[in-house]
Amino acid sequence: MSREELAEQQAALLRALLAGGEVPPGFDAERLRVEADALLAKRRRVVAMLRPDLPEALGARYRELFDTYGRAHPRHVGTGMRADANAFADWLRERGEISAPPKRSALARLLRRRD
Amino acid sequence: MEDLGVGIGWRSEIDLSVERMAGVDFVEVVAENLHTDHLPESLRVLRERGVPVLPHAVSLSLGGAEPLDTQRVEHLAAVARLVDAPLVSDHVCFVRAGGLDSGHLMPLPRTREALDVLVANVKTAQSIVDTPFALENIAALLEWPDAELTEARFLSELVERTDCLLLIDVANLYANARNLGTDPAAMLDELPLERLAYVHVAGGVEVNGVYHDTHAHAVPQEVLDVLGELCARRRPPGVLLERDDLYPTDAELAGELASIRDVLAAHA
Amino acid sequence: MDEPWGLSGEQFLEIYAAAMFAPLMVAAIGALVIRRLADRAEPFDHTNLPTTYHLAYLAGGCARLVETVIAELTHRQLLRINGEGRLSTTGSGTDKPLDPLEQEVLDTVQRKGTPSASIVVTALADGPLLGLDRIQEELLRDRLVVPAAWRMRVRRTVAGLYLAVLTIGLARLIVGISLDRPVGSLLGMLFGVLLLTGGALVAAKGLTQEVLPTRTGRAVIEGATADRPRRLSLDADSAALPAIAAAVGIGGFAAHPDVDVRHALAPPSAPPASSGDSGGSSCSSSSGSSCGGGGSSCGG
Repeated sequence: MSREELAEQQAALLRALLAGGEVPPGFDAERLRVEADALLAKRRRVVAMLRPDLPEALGARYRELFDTYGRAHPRHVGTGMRADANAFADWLRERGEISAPPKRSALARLLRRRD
Repeated sequence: MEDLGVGIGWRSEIDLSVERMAGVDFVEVVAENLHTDHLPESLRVLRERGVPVLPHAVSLSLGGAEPLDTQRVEHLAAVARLVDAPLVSDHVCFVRAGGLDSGHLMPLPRTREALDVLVANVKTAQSIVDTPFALENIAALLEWPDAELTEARFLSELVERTDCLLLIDVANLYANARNLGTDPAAMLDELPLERLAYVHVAGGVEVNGVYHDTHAHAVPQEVLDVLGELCARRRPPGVLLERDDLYPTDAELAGELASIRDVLAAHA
Repeated sequence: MDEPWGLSGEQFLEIYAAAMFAPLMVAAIGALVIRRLADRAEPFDHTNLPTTYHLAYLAGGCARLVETVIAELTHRQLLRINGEGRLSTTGSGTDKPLDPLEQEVLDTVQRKGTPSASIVVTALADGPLLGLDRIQEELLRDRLVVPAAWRMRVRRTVAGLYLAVLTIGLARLIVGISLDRPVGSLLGMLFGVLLLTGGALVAAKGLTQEVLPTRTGRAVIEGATADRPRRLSLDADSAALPAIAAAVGIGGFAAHPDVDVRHALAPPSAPPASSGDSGGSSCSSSSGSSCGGGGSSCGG
């Protein structure tokens, strides 16, 4: 097996875990589902930490909405977690789930910059 | 390896707690969370006090078959210089592939080919970073098919071929035992523990029969037992408590450090 | 010559000059009188306050109250503060049942992730605070604060008087202009009325501040301030809890006895923070850090 083949196998595994791709041969589908859920949960937590205004605004619906977004928009190389969190906010706004850019987080950013 | 003692992962949410807690001999920082132009005040205080700060990377993707992102390694090297680190580390895993970023540590296939790729990347990283490099075993929820080597053999050959150090996470050994049915004691028997840099201890939680190494829950006794198994074979130069979320009170964190010390003392 | 309103220009100006100052007097006297009227007959010992939160609200209104709850919860390890002044919950249980105010602060921190202390203070001090009603009622019952209704009445009276003075002046101005009389002096006086309106606002400053302590109330704050160093230095363990809350209650975050926590909560570089350590005389109106001055926006 060449390095290129290994690269393709790793890519296929991530596609299966993050982007709804097929289960690569030899892998346990149930294990992949558990891992996919764990990865999504981690991403959901990090986004909540970076944009606490979003779970605050969405309440109990945060999880369901984030999971819908996350499954449809896997994070690509070069997109940082902060950009991911902001993209989720834009996605929510487009769907009318939240209104205008939250003032508070802008204020929070300003306050953080001061010290 | 010089003796590090008992430490805790420094995180900005608990910076004051770590700074003021008694019995913190060293700390570890997630390299990706630091800027190379300035050090958080609390880390500066710790450095002034002579507390070693060890950068720990999570995103180098050293097992990735795509070309190594040397900018990330440069960042790690810069952070190491900033804190005057005696040692840096990352994981035996891949993080990115095919344009996707998993945001987490993914297991490698335990094949000769994958080991060659890992060795090549580690050697490149070592040529960029001036300090000794340690590599950590991860917790996996899934396994690649057609493994050619055991995990211990895989790690041993990695150490042999790159001269890197080992960072053994006993919580990950425990998690793999729970989820994949591996045997921590057998693995410890086979590992080159003379190359041990330090040990990670962390907590987790069981959900639907799967043990998740969350770093957000208390350290279970079973993880301390694996630490004991390790100590029975060789006294580790350092043990570090990792906590990344749902931080408990200072008293509870101090209590977990004390439990680690108790295990060390029992095997002194 | 037919004088408008039966008053010569000179006569009108004399009367008007006196009228100009009347509301100012009413404001100054009003502020004084209602403080005295609301006072207790006998002195009140500050240690008889039901909680330190009463002291905090008395000394600095809602913002100070929230600051004090944060200091208390941090001390009890239910909240953690980091070096940047960000708060997080510790998930710790508590042997002592939580006050509704404490629960509200914990919930707010939880909901907002790891908010800075100042964000929590601003968010809570602006909205209706659970448990504030009781504190307000008990302070009123002990006659430590002037009832808001009284202050409102004096403010309305002063405002009404100025409106009347301005209206009369303007009416005379119009009459004067229509009769082709000289109106230069009257114009000058009208300008003066505007200045005095400002003066009255200053004289009645206490009437608009969020909490107006009575004389007894101010004595209570002074008593607690004088008592603070003794409590802190003596049995540090048993008294540490009330001592920390009391210090913050009187002087805000800037007076937190723990220097690391103080620097995290009230960075020394922050705007000319009216030093809470000044001790002694005038704590009642020093607006601490993030109080936002005037308006009684506390709700509750």
